[in-house]
This record gives sequence, C-alpha cells and structure tokens, in this order.
Amino acid sequence: MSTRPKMEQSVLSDKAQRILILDEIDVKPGMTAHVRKAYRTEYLPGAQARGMVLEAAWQHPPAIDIPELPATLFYLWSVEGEAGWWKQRLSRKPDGSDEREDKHGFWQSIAPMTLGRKRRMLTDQPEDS
Amino acid sequence: MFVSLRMFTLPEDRVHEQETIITALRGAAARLPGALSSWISPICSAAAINAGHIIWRMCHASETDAQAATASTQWLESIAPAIEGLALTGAGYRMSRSNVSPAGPGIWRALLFSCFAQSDPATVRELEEKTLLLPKYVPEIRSWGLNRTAWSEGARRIEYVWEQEYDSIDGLTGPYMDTPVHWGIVDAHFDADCPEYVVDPHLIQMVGEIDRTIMDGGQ
Repeated sequence: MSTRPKMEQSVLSDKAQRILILDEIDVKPGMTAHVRKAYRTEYLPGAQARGMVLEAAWQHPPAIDIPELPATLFYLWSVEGEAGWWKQRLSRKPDGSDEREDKHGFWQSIAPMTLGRKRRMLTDQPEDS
Repeated sequence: MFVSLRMFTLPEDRVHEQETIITALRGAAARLPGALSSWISPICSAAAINAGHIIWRMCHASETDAQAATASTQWLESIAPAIEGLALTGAGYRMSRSNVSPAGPGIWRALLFSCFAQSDPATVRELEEKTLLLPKYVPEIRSWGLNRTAWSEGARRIEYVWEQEYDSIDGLTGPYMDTPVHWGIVDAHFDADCPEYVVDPHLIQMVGEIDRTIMDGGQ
C-alpha cells in the first residue's frame, strides 16, 4: 500500500491531525439513486454547516447503478483535528437545541432503503507502521 | 459499597440559598445513620450539562444502609426540610466496576445516562466494554467507576453513572476529550450519526471540586 511521502508527513505533523469520517451505506437493490439523492440533499448541507468537508464519494458496483443488485455508497469526510471532530459532533441548531434528533431523523428516514451501514473514524497510520 | 448520588436544582428565586442549604445538609449528613461518608458540594458551572446546583454523594456499606439513611428520623427532621422545594435527581448504585486510587485535591466528574428502551443488549454491552477502555488510555483519570443503577429518582430514568476523578478539570477537557479512544470508538454510542447510537441524548454531567478522593467511601 502506498503511504504519504515522508516530507508531507512532517509538514502535517505541525498541524492538527486530520480526522477522516467514512460512511459506508449498504443499499437495497433499486434504491441506490434514492439514497444518493437523500444523502446529497438532506444530509450533506447540514454536515457542511457543521464544518465537515466532503473529500470523496464512491460506490460499488462502480460507475453505474444495477437495480438487480444491492450497492454500497461510500462518503469520505474530513475534519481538522479533535476540535473539528467535536465541533461536528456537538453541533447545535440555530435555536441552541441539540441537533442529534435531526441527525437521527435523517438516518431513520433512509433506513427502509438500506441493508445496513457503518461510520468509522480514520487517521493516517502511525509512523512506525 | 453502595452509593446514593443526589443532585438538587434550586428554583431561580432561591439560587442565592445554595451555600445555606449546603451548610445545613453537611451538618445533618454528618449525623445520618447508615452513611460511611458524605460529600456535598456546589456543582461547578464549567462543563455542566443539564446539571443543577448541589451534589450529594453518599457511600454506604450496603443498599439496605442507604435505605436506612433516608428512612431515619434524622432524615425526616433535618434533611427533608432542608431540601423541601428543590428538584431532585438521584441514583443509587453498587460500586461493582471501579478502580479507586486515593489522591489529593482535584475534581470529581459524573456522567449520568440511559440507553434507549428496547436497545440491543449486545450494543449496550459493547458500550460498557469500550467505556472501560478509557481509564487505560487516559492516565489523567486517577479513579473511576462505571456502574448500573439499582434505582433512580427524578424526571428521567438514569441507568448508568460513569464517574471519574482528575487532578484538575484540564484532565477532563483535554486528554479525556482528545483521546482517539473517546472520539474514535466510545462516542459512537452517543452519536446520532453512528449506527451504534444507543444512549439517550438527555445526559447529565456534573463536576465538583474535591479536597481528596471521595470515591473510596471515606476509607
């Protein structure tokens, strides 16, 4: 596996470590476009407002939707360090109330179209690896 | 050892009575039967979440002794009048999962929480197991306890008391929050964005200053 060049690693080590957040959503056959659209329109704007930066969005099967098959959608986000991570996690709505119900509401709304999902926090590997 | 933990919230027009009530409670608690130790303190506003004004953490040899304390004449004559009109949130729990190291001044912090009704027991067990990793990776936690409640009182059910002691609040706001064990692993159970989300978002976090370890039951 390729790793980040040493020089770039040393530059980044002076800054807050970038934390990656990877959503992996297993979608029922025929529902891929619906979930993609819901994520883009109902989840993405709020996440961006919380300081999350969408780095990439991928899918399998690649390139095309095959309605006969389940699919997996991947969304890779980044935040700057622990402070950036807690900012998105402890976000509040404009009226000051907890945003967790809204977040939970979104995930519940797409649950009937999905088979399961994961969210994992990632970082660069330690230098001794 | 069994702990009864109580948080009192004063009505807005009685907040100025906080110190008077604390003094009255301390005096009465010292004569209460069934109590091994009692720690009564104002709740620090720093890091407070849904917290009231006064904490009372009392240690007993057993749950029976805890019940004896509240059923005593001393309670009825001295404690009950002192807390009349205050909102009470409380929980009782056996200190079955803890590691207490005697130490000097610092802070005590507790997070009171519940899992959603009908939560998957395996996910709840995972939450407990992962939470127990935190003391291992956060050396600033000098004492800790993660215990299920035997009872709770107040507007909402409390299922867990996760308490720690630190040398200062910096241990809580710094290393405890910054460790990847917290944000990368444990917090998924508190995070509505994660499928592991299982903890009711109504949390209570209380912090109080301590002169010495209070989690040892006055040993």
